[in-house]
Amino acid sequence: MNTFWYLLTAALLQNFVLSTGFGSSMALRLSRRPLTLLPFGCLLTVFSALSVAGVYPLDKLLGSDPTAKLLRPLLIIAVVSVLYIVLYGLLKLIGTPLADLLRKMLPTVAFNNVTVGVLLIINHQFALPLMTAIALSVGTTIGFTLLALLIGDLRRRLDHPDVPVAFRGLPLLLVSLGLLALGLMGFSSSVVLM
Amino acid sequence: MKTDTTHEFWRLTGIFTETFWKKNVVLVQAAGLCPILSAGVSLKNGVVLTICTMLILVCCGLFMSLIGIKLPAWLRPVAYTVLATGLLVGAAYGLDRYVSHELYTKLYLFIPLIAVSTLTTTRVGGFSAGNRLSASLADALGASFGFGLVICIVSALREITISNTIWGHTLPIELSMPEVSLTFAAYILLGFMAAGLQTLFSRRLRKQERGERL
Repeated sequence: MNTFWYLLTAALLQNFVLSTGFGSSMALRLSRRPLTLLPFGCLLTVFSALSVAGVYPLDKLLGSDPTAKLLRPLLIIAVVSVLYIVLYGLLKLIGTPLADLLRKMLPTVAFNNVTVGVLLIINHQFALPLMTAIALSVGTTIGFTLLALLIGDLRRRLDHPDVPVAFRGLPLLLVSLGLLALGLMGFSSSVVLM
Repeated sequence: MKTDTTHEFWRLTGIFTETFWKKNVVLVQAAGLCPILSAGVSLKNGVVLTICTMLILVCCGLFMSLIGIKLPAWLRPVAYTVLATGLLVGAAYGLDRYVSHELYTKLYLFIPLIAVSTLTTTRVGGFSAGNRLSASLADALGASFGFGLVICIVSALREITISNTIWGHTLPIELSMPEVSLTFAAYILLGFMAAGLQTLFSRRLRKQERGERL
């Protein structure tokens, strides 16, 4: 139940991008191509869950002294890099059009602030069981995908002649995200994850 | 020969001003927002993150410019991310040991993330690989100063409104809005800064158009 609650909260109530700012540039860029967002989101969810499963046991071995704290980012990047190479090879072997599309997305999926940020935060701030950590990462990536879809729709709606020239495009999008983050803050009084 | 050197100088200046000002990496290209939103709450944080970003963009940019083209495209992200993380771990160690343990504790989470920020992937992975060393350096410096300018302005404004201080020195004003440390305030502030820059360029463009018509 706790695991499911973490997933739901991270996906819907406390959006990772809006509450921490991690992955905001990527969400803004991806929202320009709404058609590829769904496969990107699915791949991001799988990759993030796999990387949490890969980093978790190694992180326990590394410990928590100051040297381990300093070396943790290197461990995370090493695991993410190995996973990236393995998945890239697998997708190349499969060779279908969908696999080729996913292979093109893989560098952005692997090396970004959401994937690495979740790994750093889970290991830094929480003492969670493995399944709950995976649920949290899955919830976070679902929340990221939903927000990117929302930004795509916002982009379309805000492209209006009534909008002052100064605010057209990115400026109004940033202000809208700020207001959305402010709105979601209402949930943080009852739910605090990140 | 002299004309060639002059031409090269103006070309590099063009690359620098493009990423620094005309197409500012943060306010126009929306890259590198994460550190500004989450860690840009005091000027000291802003300066440390600017120095770390410059270190990564310059070193990894030069590395990718030298050997990036020889690597297969799929391996390039691994190469520059591992190099960037190694450099940032070194920078974090230096910050902790020789500068300030307090700053290191505050920025521990954010320094490694520079290695995978959109700023690094677009400038190092996108521009530097396949461009000459001088062009790569001009782009890295332009992007670093462009990012630094924005994060320092946002951090300074947030520090003033959160704690009435600047670089740790108390200011003679009465403002107390601790909520500004949350991300929503930075999003709104960045939105207004981007609008300001857009206004500036649209006015300049209109003036140019009028001049051409006359």
